[in-house]
Amino acid sequence: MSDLKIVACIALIAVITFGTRALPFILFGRGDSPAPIVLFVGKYLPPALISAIIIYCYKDVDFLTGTHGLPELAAAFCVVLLHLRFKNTMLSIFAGTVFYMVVLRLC
Amino acid sequence: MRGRTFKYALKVCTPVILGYLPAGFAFGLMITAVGCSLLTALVMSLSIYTGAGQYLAVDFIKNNSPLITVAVSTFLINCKHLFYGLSLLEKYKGTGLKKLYLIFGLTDETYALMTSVHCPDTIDEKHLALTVTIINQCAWVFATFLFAFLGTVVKFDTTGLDFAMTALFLVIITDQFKTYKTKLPFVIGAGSALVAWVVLGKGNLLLGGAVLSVALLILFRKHIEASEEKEAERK
Repeated sequence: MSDLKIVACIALIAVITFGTRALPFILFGRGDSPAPIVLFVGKYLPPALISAIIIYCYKDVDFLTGTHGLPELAAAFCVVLLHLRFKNTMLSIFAGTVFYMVVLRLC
Repeated sequence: MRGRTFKYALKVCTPVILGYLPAGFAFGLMITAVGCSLLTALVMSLSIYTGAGQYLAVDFIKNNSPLITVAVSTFLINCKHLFYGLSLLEKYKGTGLKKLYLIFGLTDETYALMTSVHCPDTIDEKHLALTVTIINQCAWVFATFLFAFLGTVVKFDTTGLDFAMTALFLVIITDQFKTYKTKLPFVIGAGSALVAWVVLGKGNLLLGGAVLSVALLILFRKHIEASEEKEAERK
C-alpha cells in the first residue's frame, strides 16, 4: 500500500469506527427507540461476522500441500481449549500464538 | 477528590490494562512487520482505537485492499457498537463536550467496565467514566508504542505472529458460542464467507461474506428467533 493510501485507510477506519460508536447517541439520544429489525441485525450480526472473519483468517493457509494447515488448526484447537478451561483472554491468545510460532519452527 | 477518583479508576482498569499489553504487543509487532513506522502505529492507536479493527487494518495494508472493502468491513465489524451506545445513553447524558471523547473511547473493554463497575457515593460518576476511558486509551497507546518501537529496532522473526489475530477472534467466538443460544448466525456467517471465497475470490471474501451475512440474517429472522427461544427453553 502506498503512503497516501495508508493515510486514507487509517482516516477512513477512524471516521467509520467513531461513526458507529456515535450512531446510537445521534439517533436515539432524544428517546426514540430503534426499529426491531435494526435491533435484530445488531444482535445477531456479531457472531455471524466473527465466524466470517475466522474463515478470512484462514484464507492464506494451504490445506493441500506443505503442512496441510495442521499447525494452524492445532493452534486454533489450543486457543479454544485454553479459553474454555481458564477463561483468560490474554492467556489464550498469548499461549496459542507462542504454540503456533514454536510449531512452525519445528515443522 | 480527583486523586481518589484516579486511584479508584486505576483499580477497576487494571484487568483492561493487563489485557491491552499483549494485544498491543501483537499489534505493535505486526504493524511494523508490514513496513509501517512507529508513527503510523501510534496514529492508529490514537485515532482509531479499536483492537479487532486495528488487527484487520494491518491485514488490509498488507494485502493493499481496496478502500471500499476497508470501509464496508470496518462498518460491519463495528455494528456491535450500536448496542454499546444504547445501554449508555442515560449514563453519558449531560457530559457536554467530554461526551465526544467518551463515545470515541467506547471499546469492548471500556464498555464492559462502564456497564459493570459500581461507582462509590464519594466519587462523581461522570468523572469516573472519563477517567476510566482515558486510562484505558493510555494503556493501549503505551502498549502500541512500546512494542511497535521494539519491532522497529530489534528485528524479530515474526513468522507466525499474525496468528494472534486469529487467536483473538477465536477467543471472541468461543465466548459468543456460550452466550448465543441459537447457532444459526455462526453457520450463516461461516457459510457466507465460504460462498464469497469460492464465488468472488480471496480478495472479496470478507466484504462479500459480510454483506451476504446481513441479507441471510434478515431472510432467516423468524428461524433465528424461534431457534433462540427453543434453545433457551431447553436450558
